[in-house]
This record gives sequence, C-alpha cells and structure tokens, in this order.
Amino acid sequence: MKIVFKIFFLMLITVLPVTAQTKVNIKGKVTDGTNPVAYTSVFIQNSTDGATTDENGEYSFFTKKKGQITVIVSMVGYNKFQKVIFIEKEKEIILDAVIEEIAVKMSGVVVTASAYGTAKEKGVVLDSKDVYTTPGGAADLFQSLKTLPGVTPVSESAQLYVRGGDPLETVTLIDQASMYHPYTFESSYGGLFSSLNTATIKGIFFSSGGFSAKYGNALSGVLDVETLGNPENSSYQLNLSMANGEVSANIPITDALGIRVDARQTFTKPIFLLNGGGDDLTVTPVSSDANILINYKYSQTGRLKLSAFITTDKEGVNIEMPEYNGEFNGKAVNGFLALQNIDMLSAAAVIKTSLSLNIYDNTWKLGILDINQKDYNYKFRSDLEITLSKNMRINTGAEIERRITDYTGVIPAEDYDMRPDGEGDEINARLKGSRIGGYAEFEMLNLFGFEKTTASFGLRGDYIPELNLSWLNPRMSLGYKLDEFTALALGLGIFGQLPDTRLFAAVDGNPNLKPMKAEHAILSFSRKIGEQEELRLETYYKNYEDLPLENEITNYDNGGYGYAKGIDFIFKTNNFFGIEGWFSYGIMDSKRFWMDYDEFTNSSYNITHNLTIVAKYSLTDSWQIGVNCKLASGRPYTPVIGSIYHADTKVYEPVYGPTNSEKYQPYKRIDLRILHIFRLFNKYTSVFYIEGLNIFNFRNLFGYTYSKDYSSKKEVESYFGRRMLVLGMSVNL
Amino acid sequence: MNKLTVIFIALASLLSLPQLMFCQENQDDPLAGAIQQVRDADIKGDFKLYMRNHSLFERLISAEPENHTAKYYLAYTEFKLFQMKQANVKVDVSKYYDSAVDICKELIEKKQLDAEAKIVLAGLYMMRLSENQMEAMSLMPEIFKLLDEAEAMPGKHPRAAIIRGIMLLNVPEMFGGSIDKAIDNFLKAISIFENGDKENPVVWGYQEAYAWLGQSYVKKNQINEAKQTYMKVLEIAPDYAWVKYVLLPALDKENKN
Repeated sequence: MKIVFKIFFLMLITVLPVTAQTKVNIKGKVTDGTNPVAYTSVFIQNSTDGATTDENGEYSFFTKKKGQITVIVSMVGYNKFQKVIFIEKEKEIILDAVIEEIAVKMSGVVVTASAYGTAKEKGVVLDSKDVYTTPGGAADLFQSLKTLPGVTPVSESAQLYVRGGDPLETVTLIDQASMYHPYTFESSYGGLFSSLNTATIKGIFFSSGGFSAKYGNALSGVLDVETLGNPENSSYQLNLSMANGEVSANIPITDALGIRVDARQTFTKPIFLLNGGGDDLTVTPVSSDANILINYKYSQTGRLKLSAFITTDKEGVNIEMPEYNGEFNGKAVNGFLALQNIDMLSAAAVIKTSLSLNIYDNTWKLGILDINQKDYNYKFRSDLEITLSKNMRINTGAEIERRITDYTGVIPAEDYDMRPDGEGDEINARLKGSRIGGYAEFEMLNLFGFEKTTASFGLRGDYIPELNLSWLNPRMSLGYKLDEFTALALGLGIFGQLPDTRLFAAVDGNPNLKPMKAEHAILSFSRKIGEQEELRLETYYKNYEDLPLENEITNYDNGGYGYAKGIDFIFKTNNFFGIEGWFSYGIMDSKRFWMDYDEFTNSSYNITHNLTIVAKYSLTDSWQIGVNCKLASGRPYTPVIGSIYHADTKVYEPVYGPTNSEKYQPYKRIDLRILHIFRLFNKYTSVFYIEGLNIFNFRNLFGYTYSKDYSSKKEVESYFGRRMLVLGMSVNL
Repeated sequence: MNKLTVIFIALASLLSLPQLMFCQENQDDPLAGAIQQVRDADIKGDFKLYMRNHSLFERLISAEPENHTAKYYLAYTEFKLFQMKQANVKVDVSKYYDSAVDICKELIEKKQLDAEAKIVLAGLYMMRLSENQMEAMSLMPEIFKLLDEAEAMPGKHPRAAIIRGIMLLNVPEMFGGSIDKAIDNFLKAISIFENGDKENPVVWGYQEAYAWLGQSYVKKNQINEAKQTYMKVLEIAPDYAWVKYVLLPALDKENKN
C-alpha cells in the first residue's frame, strides 16, 4: 500500500507543475479598425504556438512560453502587427490587434452608365482580345470601338463620332496624358487608323456619355488608355501582312525594370496590287511607328513608367474637283512622350502623376492649299484616390495643360477654288492657351444606408487664363443593383469644352469664343447572364448649348445649339451556341444649328439606325471564322442645287441647298476573317489569317464630286471601302 | 489490489493525462500534421481549411525560417487560394498570386524543392493565363519551359505531368494542345503515384490526376470511361468534393440531357 502511495505522489509531483506551466491562454480579436478580419494568423515569433482567427476575427491559443515574447498578427494584404508582451504568472492574456490593409479598397464598384472597358465590373467588357479579333478592325482600337452602339460609322475613318457628337468632342488619354491627334492618315475624311499600337495597351475605359468629373474638356466621350506594365517573361513577336510588318520585344531586365519595344511599318501597296483600286494614288499610304515602354518598380508600391512613341505617315492621291483636278499630298509626324508615377501615399491613398508632351506636325497640299499645322501639347496631371471606407472613396485631381498651335502656309480664299493659280490667303498664326482644371468626386456604396445603391457626385472646374474664362460642371451617377447581376443606372451631368483651336484665329475666327456646353441624361439597364453573356439597354438625351456658329461680324459666336437623343443596346457573349461576339444597335436623332449651318437641322452625324454584329466561331481548335456586319442609315449631306459663274476668276461657285437636307444611301459592309493558328517548325506559335473587307463589295458613298458648273455629280468612294483581300501572319518567338 | 489502490492509480492516470497528451503533441511532427491538413483541404475543397493551413505554415516558418518544405506548402496553399478566385469567395484571394510567385522564385533560386517549386510556378502562370488569354504568347512558353526543367531534374515528377496535362487539355490544338496527350500525362502521373513516390515530401496530385483524367474523357465524349474514372477516385477518396459534388453530378446531368 505504501508503494502505491509513493507512486501516486511521485506522479503528482511530476505532473502538477508542468500542467500549471502550460495553461497560458492568449486570446483576443483582430480587426481592421472597424470590421473583424477573419483567417488571420496570430502566433508567437520563432515558435509554432498560434492560431487562426475565426469569422468574427477572434482567436485563442495556449502557450507554455514564459518571459518576453513577440506576438505577430499576419495576413497577406495587411501590414504586419507585432507586440512584445511579458508572460509571468498570468493564466490568460487578452490581446486585441488592429491591422491595416496595405491597399484599402471599396467593397464594390459604383454603377455607371455608358461605360465599356477591360475591367469587367466597370461596364460592358471590351478587352484587347476583342480588339485583335474583330474582323475588319485591323487590330485597331478605334475601329473596334466603332462597333459599339452610340459610335456611328460616319465614314471609314477611325474617328469616334459618339452619340451625334463631332470627333473632337471625344478626348483620348494615354496614361493620363492628352492626345489630340490619335489617328494616322488624317485628312478631311478623318484619320484612318489609331496612332496607338494595340500591342502596348493593357487596359481601356471608354465612355459614350455621362462620364466622371475626372474627365474635362470633352463634350461627348472619353477614351482612357493604360499602357502595359513590366513584362513577366521575355517574348518576341513578328507580324507580317499585306498591310504591315511589325517586330516587338518584351524584356524583363530585372525584377523591377522591364522594357517593351515595338516597331511597325505599314505598306498598303500590296493590298492595292492584289485588289486594284489604287489607280488614283500617287503615294500609296504608308506609315511607320515605333513604341517604347519602360517600367521601373522603385518600391513595393511605387512605379515609374516612361512611354514614348513616334508615328509618321504620308499619302498622295489624285482628286477630281469641279474647278481643278490635282494631287492631294498629306504627311504627318506624331510624337508622344509621357512619364508617369504611380505610388501609394498610404494604405488608402493612391496617387498618379503624369508629365507629358505631344507634338503633331501635319502638312496638306492640294492646289493653292499648302498648310502646315504644328501642335504642341504640354501637360501635367495628378489624380488622387482616397478610400475613406469600404463604402466611400474620394477622387480628386488637377491638370495643367498648355497647347500651342501654329498654322502656316496658304489657304484658298474661297473653298470652291482650289486651283494652284487661284486666290489664296497667307496664314501665319500661332494660337496658344492654357487650361487649368480640377475636380473632386465622391463615390459611395449603400447610399445613406440604402443597400444595393451606388452613387457618385462630382464637380469639376476649368479655367482658361488667357481668355479669363472658367466653367463649373457638376456630374452625378446613381446606381441600383436589382440583384447580383442586374443594375439600373442614371447619369446626369454638364460637360464643357473649348471649341476647335482653329476657330480662335484672329483672322477668320474669334479669339473670344466661350466654351461649348452639353448636358447629358442617361438611363441604363444592364444584366450579366452568367459568366458568358451580358446586355445593356440605355436611353440618353444630350442637349448642346453655346456651340460655335458662323456670323458675318465676328466670324463665329456661341449662338449654336442642338441635341442628340436615342437608345443604345448591346448584347455581348463569350459562348452563345459556340459563338463569341456582340450584337449592337443604336437609334438616334441629332439636330444642330452650328458652324456654317443655315438652320436648325440634322447634324452631319445623325445616323438614325446603326446595327453591328460581330461573331466569331471556332470551326476546330485551330481554325476560327469571324464576321463583322454593319448596317447603318445614310449620313446627311448638303446638296448642291446650282452654281454662280464668276467671270473674273473663271470659276463656278456652288449654291447649296438646305443644310444636311439629303442623305446618302445606307451604309452596308460585311467583313470576314478566317484565322488559322499553328506551330511553325513545330516550335513557334503562329497565326495566319485571310481577311475579306466588304466581301460583298457594297457601294458606300462618302461624297460627290461635281462637274465644272455643278450641273452633274459623280459618286466618290473611300479607297478602303471597296472589297479587299488581306493576308497576314504573326509568329511568336 | 484493493479498491483504494485502484482509485489512486486511476486518479494518477487522470492527472497525468494532460502531460501525456502534451508530450504526444510535442513528439508529433507538426509539419507532417500540417501537410496532412493540406490534403484534407484538397479533398474537401474547403476555403476555410486552406486559410487555416496558410496560418499554420506561416507559424512553422516563423519557428524555423529555413524550413523550405513549409515554404513550399505555403506557396502551394496560396496557389490553391488563388484558384478559389473563380469560386467567388468573399476574401480577395488575388493577393496571394504575387506572394506565391515570390516564394516559388525564392525556392528555385535557393535550389530547395526547386523542381516542385517550378511546377507550382507553372501552375500559377497557368491560372493567370486562364484569366487573361492575351498573355498566352509570353506565358505559355514559360509554363512549358518550367515543366521541362522540372522533369529534367532528378526524381519523379507526377505533378509536372498533371500541370502539363491541364495545359494540353485546355490549350487549343493550334497552340499545341491535345486531349490524347493530356490523357497520357494524367495516366503517367497516376502511374507514378501508384508505383510509389514516397521519397518526395510533396504529396498532392493523386486525386487531382484522376479528376482531370475524367474531364479529359468527358471532352473526348467517352462518358463511360469518365464515369469509371470518377468512381475510381471516389474509391480512393470517398469525400473528394470536387468529383463528388461537381464533376460527377455534372456528368450525370449531361447524360440525362
């Protein structure tokens, strides 16, 4: 019996102190200041003692450690929390921790109308894959945007005519920098392609109305482009088609530094050789461009990006005019340089700052016309995003822009007399001006406690020091999510923009013109159908005021006005019975009284119906067929109804009928693309394609040319509007 | 032995139980326990379990900063969490991508579990590729290069065959994809697992190889083979949630239609 007692006491002696030692319970709650943070690691440094927080942010664990210990609270995406504590005789230690998110984000996105882009939560998705694979789009961003509802196909040009607006009413930003001439081959028909190389684009945001206060000096639309960041891996690409040759390289130099370079040469001669139709061309359109992007990640959160490109183009074509048959020659150089810095000021504040320069030099020659335009645009812009809470963010920023435009050369005294020996006016004008803009915008989720609502309220101001002009534009957007996939949005706002710089010329313009004004009201319904489909239906009304209008005394005043109203619909799918693509339709009515209009009438861009179907179907894993169908109402034009003969100059002056009182025939075009992807030499992924542009050779008119006395007229087609076949290939090394 | 003796012994045993349990816990290999929990999370497809495992591996690394196996599993757990992005979990799991890539690159640089780290890195790039196909031109060659390098290293690499198989299954034929080659890779992985890959501290992939093999058969419209494959994996792991609750019901539904 004694032995049993001895054993018992021995066990008791050895067990009790140890069990007492192990009973230190550390527990508490981890929050981000307001909300609990689940699944966070809480542990003692240099040990495995620890636990994970539950969904209420609470944790509890035991340790046998004594003395000074360091407790660590760690969660990816949050700053690490450390606390030194001293354990002596405590049985329980309560340790609450507050950890800060490294980047505080709102828990949702404010619903806005009329938005398209690469970020799927911000509107109808349009990404670079769509740009690359749109048949007939020549992998050109602007040509692809033209397939969206509300962007009307006024001509074959790449210019964006947004909801009845002039192309100048849509602003293009690249890494925050403004670009006023984002097109190549600019002529009176507009630019043919984008100056932006699709291969350098990371993300796009395009709005056809009701856009944020962030964007100023734009009446109708915004295209905001973000270029690519650091390449993850080295890659090289060769593209060769009948229209262009291109080489590009993406090279990560270090983990922090990377470079992307791209050089492209277009040469349209092979297209005309194969397809004909280039007989009138004296210089077949050619362009060259070179891009460089250098990214440097100088800290965990900060990076510098240098983007630069230069584009040159030239073209020559014989033109028939009533008074003169001559050769039009155009050439342009477009240079762009932007340095952008993005960094976080704190966990909740991101700042983006950009310094940029854009130089555009363009010359047009035709008969007496010999005009050179040099446009210098210097810009500083800074945008700050501060996330105040999961439900609220403030966006604010400022921009200072200086634009100098030189016009030198000779322009015809009368636009109906372009003869080389006709009367001309010498021009030597320098127009310069600055614009200082600023904005503040609140974005809110669950507005005033109402769940499923989103809102943004913004105010922007712009000031032109030289003209002592300023304007304030309030804007707002209200959204209501009917369910996870369905949303209603209302966009309202006032939008101001200076008229085209050439209208400020002292000789034939008015240096005292005021800004133009537009008021937008948009109601939007959108629905996502699973991961594959989405649709959006919108109705809009846009009221224009203070538009430039010709007058006899001051050349121009701000007496113009107008409106545009309509309905836009888009249905986009990634897999509709195996088909990928979109169906878009817009119906619009747009009237104006501006520029040289003689009355309040159809605007030049009043395309009543606009239907586009883009469909791509994979026949096999290696063959894809795509089609792009466009059908649109004819564009209004002003007919010539007679002429007056000027015996002194021996030229006829046209007499015009009512402005835009007639319409061209409807616009029809079907482009087809067959694409084959294969492994060249069983090693290099390669793409071969055949593209048929306007395969049914529909006749689409872009104007008339008249006989010498304007008694008869002849139809004029676009050079790139006729049926054409283009072959191309891309090899990835 | 009288009653008193029995009571004393019972009391002593009760008092010593916590001590015995504590000793047991200390004696266990916490890393092995953690790895077992990873497999549990894989079987259950349980987000919360992955998050707990993430915390567990962080603690193991805190206790032993040069524990490369724990680091590997931390990267693997983050890879799995990143995959859950498509499952619309409430936590922003996209943040785990960069962290996982960094850990894999560190292991490759230090030549620690570098073959397996290359395979997980290839898997991460594959996930990124599935999100943004525009990056295919640069990521695809990199993925295959990593897998080639991993397979050229000593040892058996069933997981390289799995990632290669998934790539071959999902990449269009024109980019080198092939269902038959994908099947060959999944079968190769299964064969390695079933013939022993015991020296490798990395254990994931066996059930996944079957699940992907089944999907390959579905894609080839070999429904019976697909069903047999799914049934086989459920014999091995009856609670394998992905097959039990997702793939098999989907196959049955398709059959009915």
